[in-house]
Amino acid sequence: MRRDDGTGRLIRLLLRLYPREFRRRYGDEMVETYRDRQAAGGPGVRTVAALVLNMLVEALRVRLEMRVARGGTRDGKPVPPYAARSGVMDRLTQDMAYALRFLRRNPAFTAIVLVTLSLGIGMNTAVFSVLYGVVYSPLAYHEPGALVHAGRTHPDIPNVRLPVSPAMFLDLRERVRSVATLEAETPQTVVLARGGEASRHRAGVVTAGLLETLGVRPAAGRLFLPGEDESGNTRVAVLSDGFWRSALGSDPGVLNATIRLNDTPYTVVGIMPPEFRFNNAELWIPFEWTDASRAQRQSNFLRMYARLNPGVEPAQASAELSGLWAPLRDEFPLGNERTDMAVMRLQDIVVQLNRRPLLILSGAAAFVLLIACANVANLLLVRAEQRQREVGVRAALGAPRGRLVRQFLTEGMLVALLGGLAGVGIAWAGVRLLLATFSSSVARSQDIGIHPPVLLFTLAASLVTGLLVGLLPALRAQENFDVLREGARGGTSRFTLFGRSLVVAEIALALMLVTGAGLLLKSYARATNAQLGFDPRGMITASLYFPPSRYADGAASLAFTEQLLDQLRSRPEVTGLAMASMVPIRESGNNFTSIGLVGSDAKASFVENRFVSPDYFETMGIRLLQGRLHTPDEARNQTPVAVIGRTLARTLAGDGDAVGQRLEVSPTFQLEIIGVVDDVRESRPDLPPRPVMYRPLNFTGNLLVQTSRDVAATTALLREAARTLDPEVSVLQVQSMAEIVDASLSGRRFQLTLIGVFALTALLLACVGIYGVLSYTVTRQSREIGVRMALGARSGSVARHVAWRGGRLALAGIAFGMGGALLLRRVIETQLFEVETFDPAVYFGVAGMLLAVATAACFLPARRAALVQPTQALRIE
Amino acid sequence: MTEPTQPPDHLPLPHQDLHLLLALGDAPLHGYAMMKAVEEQSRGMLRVELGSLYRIIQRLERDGLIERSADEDGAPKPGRERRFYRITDLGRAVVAAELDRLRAVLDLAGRGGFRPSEA
Repeated sequence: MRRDDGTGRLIRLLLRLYPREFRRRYGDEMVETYRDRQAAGGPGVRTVAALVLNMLVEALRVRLEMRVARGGTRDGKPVPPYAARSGVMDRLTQDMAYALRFLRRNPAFTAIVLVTLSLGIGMNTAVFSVLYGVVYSPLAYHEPGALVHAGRTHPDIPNVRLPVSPAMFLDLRERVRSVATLEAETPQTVVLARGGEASRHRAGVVTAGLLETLGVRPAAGRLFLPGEDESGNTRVAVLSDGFWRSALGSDPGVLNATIRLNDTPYTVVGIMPPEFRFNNAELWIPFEWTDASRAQRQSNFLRMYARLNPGVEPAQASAELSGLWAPLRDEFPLGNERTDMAVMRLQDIVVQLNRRPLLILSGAAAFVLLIACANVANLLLVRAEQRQREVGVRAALGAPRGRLVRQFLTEGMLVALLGGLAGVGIAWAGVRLLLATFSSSVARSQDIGIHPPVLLFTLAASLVTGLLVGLLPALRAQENFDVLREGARGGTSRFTLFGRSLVVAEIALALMLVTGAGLLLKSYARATNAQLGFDPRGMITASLYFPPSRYADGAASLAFTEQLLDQLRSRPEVTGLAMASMVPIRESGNNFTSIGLVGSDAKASFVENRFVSPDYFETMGIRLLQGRLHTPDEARNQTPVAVIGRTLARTLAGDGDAVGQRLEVSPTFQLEIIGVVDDVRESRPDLPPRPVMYRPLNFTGNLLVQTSRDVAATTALLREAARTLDPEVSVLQVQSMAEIVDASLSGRRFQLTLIGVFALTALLLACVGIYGVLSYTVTRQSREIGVRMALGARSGSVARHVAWRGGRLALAGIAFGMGGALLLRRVIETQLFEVETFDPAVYFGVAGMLLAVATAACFLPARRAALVQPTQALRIE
Repeated sequence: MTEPTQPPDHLPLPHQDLHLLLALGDAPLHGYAMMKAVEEQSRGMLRVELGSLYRIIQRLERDGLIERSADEDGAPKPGRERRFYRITDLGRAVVAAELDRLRAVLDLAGRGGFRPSEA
């Protein structure tokens, strides 16, 4: 047999919507024609979307045209083809008008249906707009498909490209042929001094051609010129639109004017357009090539970016760079052991980082829409039942059978399209709300919006929804068409059975979604309360900025800092003080690629290299497990000693004693291990502790203040203390450790919030569903109930009987839902933290909650059944 | 099926139908060739997507304006479902009638002072 590719299968699937007769005659041929077209030039995602939409719409038109052609008679004469065609439109308009009239006359029904569908479609649209903006929309650079990130790779940390040293970068740039340009960037914090105020900003330090390589024109001025990264020419800056607006107050005269960064004058030569983003930098300054930096091979900090030559694939560039890298690595092995080199498209990096969590969100949103569809289909089914007699009458009066089916389909489509329209509004508001709350935790937030492809998605979602909700009532109407039985109420046709299966499916879907939300919530709670290894309570961090002209060497600033610390120690509200080169969780990434013990083969990769003051461990509440801590003398004398974390000790010494051994950092540099401390989550609360070494600090690091006061009071205290010593020293970046921990979990919060909202909506909709079916059953069976009560049944037993009907549906839904949740549990495995994918507490807790909620939904109909008056019920007919 | 129709019964012809019939003027074509021909004839202004193409083919075939062509199919490769279509005499008559109608429209426009641009 022949094999179909994905789209070929898609076409066959869509063909199922066409009449069988049509499919038989043209199906294979259509697939063939599609293949011909594909061979002539493969279609992109957009073309496939257009194809799907086209086939959906045409399936309906084919059905309508065929019915008209077959019906074929008007006033007993055959209808000519043209008249038949125009008849289709006439009838569609008529059906629409009829459906609209019905919706207008039943405002409550219309409101429930529209709210349900617009919530479902709106949530899907919102999530798709995030998915599209973050993952699928092209990056806002010129020909972004040719832009790649290049770097060293290491088998211990997959999917990461590490920076290189400046000398290595130059060697590579000179030899590489597969790329048009090879440029580099490194982040740096700069301090902007403006009107006596100092503020910290993220700068991108770039080689002269980097911005040019991205291919975005500045909104004003120019980019860097070749040679502006040569020593002596580098005092120029290009600003982001955001920096120009917020830090410089949109000053129109800033172009060609001077700003002071790190106490050095820079001339502003350009301002980028508002949509331009690159690695979170607020402004760009040139990297400075000096004799020293050209020869520097020890420290790897340049991130490489390149534009591929036309026709070159990333794999080819990777192969070339890998070949160029091998001899360099072998010549300069230090820090480059076991590394290779590879490139990845910038677009693919974005996809890799974000696709999975966003696809999970899309799946959750799709569940909500399915539940919404089930609810609306049920409502329309109930209505089809109620209209049984109307249908019968119309049939008897000669309405063609297809006409009635079409009427229901038209109604389904109409409510779905109206729901979609309202859904776009909901999505628009939802996306704005999301971005206002989570802009910092969503990548590419500036690219998220209701773009045309998003609207196309909404249209497709609405059409599918329309088919789903219209089909069942349409089939029901068809069944009723021939059966015109007076008083045939109360029987269980296979369609009321279907209605109940819909409720079971809804509950199952809701349970799966709520279980997922429960697992994520538990993970979030675990991450918030994770054993950080230090105590963030009452801890506030700050950094100092010294004007370089007056504090040229580290000794001057250190002397100042020690005076400051002395002053602070005398304050009663300060209970602990320490300094560290990097604040845990907020900063990390200064590490040695590979180090081992002298006389041992064991190696540890990517060992964090941190400098701390002797009182750091006590202030932070980090436990000493073995040996001793640094002394102030060791800091002053720069004694080559280190305290190491437990993970590093275990990696290098196993169960043996690490204290007293020597760490080999390089062939010429060793450190004696003097102590082992407990592990600290240095990078994120929900990532395992990394190997770390702490060396004695002899420069001014970040201040860590243990205090009973809040951030504002501590900021005032620090500023006051610093001002009395030297008014030109600024206190910056005052933040509580609690805020830092909180910020590191904002991505989880984003995901949890969305899934939580979806789960609650799903739960609510499922309740409405179970309530709707039960109360309809009670209405339908009120005669039967009345008879039973007339025969002596007690109202309590009647109520229990009705409640049990609902309870059975709920139990069946819960059973299916738990099975489904177990099947799908691998999907969110990667998003969980210290929670098993089968966590009994979550699974049974959620099941219990759902049962309770479902019971509540059964209560009202059951009560109504109990209150049925036998005399009245029997009179109804 | 039904009694024979007259060319005027089919007017006015939807523009996609007209272009497909025009594309079949010279020789029988298969589906993809028809798509391409319409796009080329209209200089890219008109495109027929897969679903629309076969809905129209079905209608034209049903109305007897085109038919499946046996001679061009030659020796079909196994598993290939590529069918050729050719225009029928009725099809040609309908195109002629449609062109008359369009000419009448142009005359009407000329009398009203409208003129095609000289592009």
